[in-house]
Amino acid sequence: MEWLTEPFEFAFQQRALIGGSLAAIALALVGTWVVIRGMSFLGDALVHGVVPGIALAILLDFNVMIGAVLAAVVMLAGINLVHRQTTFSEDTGIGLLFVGMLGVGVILISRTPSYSGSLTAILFGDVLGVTIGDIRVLVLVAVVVLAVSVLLYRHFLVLAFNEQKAQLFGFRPRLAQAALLGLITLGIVGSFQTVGTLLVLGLLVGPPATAALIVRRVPIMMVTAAVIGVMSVAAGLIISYHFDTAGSATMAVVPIVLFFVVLTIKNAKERAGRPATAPG
Amino acid sequence: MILIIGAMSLLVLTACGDDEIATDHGLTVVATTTVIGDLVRNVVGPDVTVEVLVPIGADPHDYQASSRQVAQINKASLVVVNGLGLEEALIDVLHAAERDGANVLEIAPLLEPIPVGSGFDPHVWLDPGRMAEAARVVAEEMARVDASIDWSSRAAAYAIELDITHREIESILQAVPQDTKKLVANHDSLGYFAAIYGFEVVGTVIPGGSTLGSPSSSELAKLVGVIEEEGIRAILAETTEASVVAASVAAEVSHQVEVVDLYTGSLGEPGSGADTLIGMLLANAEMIARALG
Repeated sequence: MEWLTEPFEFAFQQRALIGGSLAAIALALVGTWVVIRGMSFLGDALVHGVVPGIALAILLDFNVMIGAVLAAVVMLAGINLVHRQTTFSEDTGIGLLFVGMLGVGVILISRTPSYSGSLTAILFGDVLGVTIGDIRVLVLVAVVVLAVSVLLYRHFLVLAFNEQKAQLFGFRPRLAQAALLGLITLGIVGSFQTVGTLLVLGLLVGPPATAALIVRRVPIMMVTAAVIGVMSVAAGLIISYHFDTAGSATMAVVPIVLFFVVLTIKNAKERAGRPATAPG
Repeated sequence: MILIIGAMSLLVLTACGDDEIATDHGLTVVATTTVIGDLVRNVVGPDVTVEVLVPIGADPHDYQASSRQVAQINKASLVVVNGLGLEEALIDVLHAAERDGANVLEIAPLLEPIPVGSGFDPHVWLDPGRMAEAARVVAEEMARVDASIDWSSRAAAYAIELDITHREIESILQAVPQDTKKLVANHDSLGYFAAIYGFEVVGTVIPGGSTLGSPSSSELAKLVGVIEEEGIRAILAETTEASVVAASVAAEVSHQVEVVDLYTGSLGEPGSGADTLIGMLLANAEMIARALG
C-alpha cells in the first residue's frame, strides 16, 4: 500500500494528480463524442494544428491561449471549406490542414532568433510542472465542458446517431456540430498547455475507447471514461515514480495499454461464454 | 468490474521491480546535465551523492524528467542547473520545484554570458575559465547548505586543473593556422569556444539557438556557398544530434569536407576519454585541431 501512496507525498505529484485528473475528466466528456463519431484524427490534428498560433503568440507577445484558439478556428474553417467545396472525405481536409498548420508552426519556431524556452515549455508542457494557476485554468475548463455537455447533451446525441433526421425533429445539426467542435477545441487547448500534447491525445481517445468496449449508454460511457482517465493519471504517476520513466509519456501510455487489456479480457470472456454453441 | 480487473493487473504487473530512492541522510546534489554533474562532483567530492537528470548522449534541449527525478529535485540539498533556456523541456518542472522550496542554482546567468539575439548563449561549459568560476559558485552555495565542510579549497583545486586544461587547449589549437580558424557548427553552440580561442563562427546548420529548429533550403545553400568560399574543411556536428543534414551539406560542397562529432551537449561514454568535463574539452580541441590543422 505504501508503494501506492509514497509517490503522492510530494506536492508536485499531488498537483500533477489533480491537474491530470481535471484534464482527464474534461477530455473524457469530449473524447466520448470523438470516439462515437470517429473524430480521433481531427482531435490529433487539432493538438498539432494549434502550434503556429502558439508560436505566433510568443513571437508577437500576446496570450498563448488566444493564439491557440485562433489557430484552431483557422484550421476548422479550412477543414470545413475542403469538406464543402470538394467531394473528398473529411479526412482529406483534416490531413491537409494538419500538415499545413504544423509546417507553419515549425517555420515560425525556426525563425525565433534565440532561446525561447517558453515556447518549448508550452509545446512540451509537462504535467510534473503543473502550478496552482494551471489547476485554476483546468477547473474552469472542466466546469465549462461539463456544463455544455449536459446542456447540449440531446443535441449532440441526435447529431451522433441520426444526423439526417436531426433537422426533422427540430434540432439544428450545424449549430450543434459547431458547438461540439468548439467544445472539443476547448477541452484540447485548455488542457494541453499544462499537461502536454502527448497526454492530451492519450486521454482524449484512450479512456473513451476503453469505456465504449464495456458500456453502451453515452452518459455511462462518459463517467466510465472519466474514471479510467483519472485512474490512468494516478497509475502513470506511480509508475513514473517507481520506474523512473518520463512522466507525461507514461500517463499517456497507460490508458492505451488498458484498452488492450480490457479488449483481451472481453474477448476471452465472450469466447468462454459460448463454448457449447460454437460448432466445433 | 472488468475495468477494475484490468487496472489491477496493470498495477500488479508493475509492482515487481521496485527499487528505493537512495535513503542515506547525507547531502544530495542534483545536476541537470552530465557536464554539470562532473563539475559538481569535482567540487563536492565522493561523500556527496550527485544525481544527473539527462543521460549521457541525450540532448539537454528536449529532455523530459520522470516523476522519480522530480522527487529527487525536491529532496536534494542543491539542484544545479545550466539555465538560460538550455533545459527547455525541464523549465516547467524546475520552476514548480523552486516554488515548492527546492534549492535551485542556475549557473550560466552568473558567468557573464554572451548575448545572442534577444537572450544569452547558454553553452557556457565549453569555456574552462567560466567553468572554474562555476565551481566557485557551486562551492559558495554548498557552504550555505553545510558550512562545516571546506568546499572552496576543492573548488579552487579544480579551478587550477581547468586553468591548466585551458592552456593545454591553447597549445593543441596552435596546430590550426590563423587563416583557417573559421568554424561551421551544427547548432549555435560554439560561441564561447570561438570567442576564447580566437575562432570565428561563419555558419550553423540549424538556425536559432535551440536544436529544435530546422533550416531552410536557402539557408543551407548559403551555408554551402560560405563553406566553399572560405575553404572550410570540417563541419563541427555533435554527439547528441543526428548529423544527417550536416552530412548532406558536406556532400554538396565541391571540396572534401569532414563531419566531426564534437561533445557539446553531453559528456562521452565512460572510457571514451570525454567522460569528464576536462576530458571532453581536450577531446574537442584535439578533434578541431585535427580537422582544421
